[in-house]
Amino acid sequence: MAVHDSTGVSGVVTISVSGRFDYFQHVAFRAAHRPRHPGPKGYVIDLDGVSYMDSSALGMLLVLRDQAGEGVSITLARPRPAVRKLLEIANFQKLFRIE
Amino acid sequence: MAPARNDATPGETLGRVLIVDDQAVDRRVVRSVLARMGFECVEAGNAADAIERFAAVEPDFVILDIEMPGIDGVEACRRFKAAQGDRYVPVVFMTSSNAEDVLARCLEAGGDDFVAKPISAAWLVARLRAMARINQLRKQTLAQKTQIDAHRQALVQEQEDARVLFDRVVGGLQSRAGNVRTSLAASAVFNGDIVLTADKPAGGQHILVGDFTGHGLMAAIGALPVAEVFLRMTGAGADLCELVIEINRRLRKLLPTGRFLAAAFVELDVRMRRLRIYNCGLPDLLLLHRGASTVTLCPSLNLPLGVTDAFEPEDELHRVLEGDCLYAVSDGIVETTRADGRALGIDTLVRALVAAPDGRGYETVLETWAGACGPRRPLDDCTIVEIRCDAVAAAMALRQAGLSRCDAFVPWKWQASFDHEALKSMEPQSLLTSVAVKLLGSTDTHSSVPLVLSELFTNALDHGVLGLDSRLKATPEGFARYYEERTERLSSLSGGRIDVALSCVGDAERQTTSVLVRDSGRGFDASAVSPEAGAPFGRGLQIVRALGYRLEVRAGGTEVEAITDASYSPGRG
Repeated sequence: MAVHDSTGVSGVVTISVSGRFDYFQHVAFRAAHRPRHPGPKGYVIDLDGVSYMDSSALGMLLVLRDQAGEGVSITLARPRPAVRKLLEIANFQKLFRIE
Repeated sequence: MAPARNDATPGETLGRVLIVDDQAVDRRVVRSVLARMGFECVEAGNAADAIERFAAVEPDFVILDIEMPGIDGVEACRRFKAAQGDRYVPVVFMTSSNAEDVLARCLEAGGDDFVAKPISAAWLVARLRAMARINQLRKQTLAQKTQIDAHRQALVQEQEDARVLFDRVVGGLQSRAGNVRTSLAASAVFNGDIVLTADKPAGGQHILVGDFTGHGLMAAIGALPVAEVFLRMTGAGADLCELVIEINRRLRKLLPTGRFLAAAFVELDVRMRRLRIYNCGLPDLLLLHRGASTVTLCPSLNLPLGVTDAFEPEDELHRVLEGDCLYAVSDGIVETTRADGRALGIDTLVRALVAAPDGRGYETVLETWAGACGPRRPLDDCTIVEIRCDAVAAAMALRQAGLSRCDAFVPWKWQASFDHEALKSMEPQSLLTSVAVKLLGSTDTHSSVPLVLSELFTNALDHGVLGLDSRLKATPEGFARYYEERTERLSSLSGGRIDVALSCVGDAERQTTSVLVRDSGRGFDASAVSPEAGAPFGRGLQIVRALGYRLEVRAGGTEVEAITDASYSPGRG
């Protein structure tokens, strides 16, 4: 499965994406950050498995940020070099934690 | 033989079967089995007859005896398969032989299955049911493909419509800049990329290279307000920073979350040798220094536009000389995968540019990209822009500047004073330009007054009040230091003032326009001013003279007035 989500005991939701992170993941990604009760303390997006990412995926991350709301941290974890470069060009470190 | 169930609902058939066998008895046996199952049966006594009637009968399946006199079953099968076109008609062989070579020939001819003679009804029925299921699946897939094709066609149509819409609204407003080359012009569909240029009234040029997320109408809808703001604000004399902030604000309000504009905003003043860049989400811009054959990378320092309200854009300033070229490429180009599986990457482009023959930078980038793509070329996803520092083109733009004609002339005077607080906090340049534009020009005539005012004011501020020496700008390091020093001195300014007065006197036939700037500095020796190459200070006043103004320098150089006369023959307009 290309998008997989799980909730940890600390209230942090981890969403793992693998393969191509592009427009075709948009429905699955949206479902992965569906509103939950209680709301998550934070999100970790595990990008280790992502081989390719494009600007529509950047858009999906912005939608997540908007939906998550104020005070909910979002971390973009383990991006591969090409994906990291894309995030740098977009200066997404100004909006998300990247590690 | 066990009786076969009838699988078809009343009134429906499972399909039409063409039974080809030279033995009538064998045909009857097969027919009875199939008819009871619910198949519609058509018989042919020989291959030639069956081949002739194949198109008219339009069978869903063919059951075919291998050993027939005349055209044998294998050849007949080849002919049926050739005649099928888009449809898939399974051919089932009947054979009393189980010699492997016979069976192999059948499969090679395109045969799909066998039944052994004597026919087992259960076996035949089972095979045909399985094929009916496959055929059903195939029909579904075909229907889906047709639907998908239709959707795709609609999307392409939408992008073509978006192109027409964009060109109609924006196309007529753009300047055809002589120093900007782009691969975008060839695109018949709107793929979300825009390239805009506009001349600044006080001299210089703004260029916008942008890439909207998504294609089609959604991207075009975002592009329209961007183009309108860009062209209007530049024409009114706005500073590049104001423009970037305003476009961000508009897109933030307009675009849905997740949609944005990745763009680079460029301000080029060839005369002043200044290049200023706000890169908001595009891959590194490449500045090729012609003389040194080096490339400076200008990376994205900002978020794309339309993403956040808290937007404080950072720019980069570069010194440029005649012949230097700035390149912007869309991310599609950098990501292009070569035959060896690696991405093309910025480094490859940089190396190619450094090695490129003089004046062939644009072609080199195109060729490098084409080489990486190989035979498959995604034409619509590639945007290359070259911005050349071209003194000739800039001079031509200047020469078009003239005084605008006032039909019902009324003499007027405008004055303003800026103390050190105003100079520090306002940076009055863009205010002065927009006032001059408002007072003197409509948007489609170029007035030289904003340019003259900008020249005199810059001199008054940089040299008069701030005490900077423009000879510092002669080297690249000095250039950077000059502007750092300027920022430093301006922010710590504790005294000084500049007064500005614009006036126009006369009547409908003859008008005298005056631009006067007075500063609180130490002045300069007007007779020492000369048009040295590499001394923009001296050259600035030369330009003012070249535009037809005479200069009066007073009070030891702290007051400069530029005056020009214009005559209009009565009834002209």
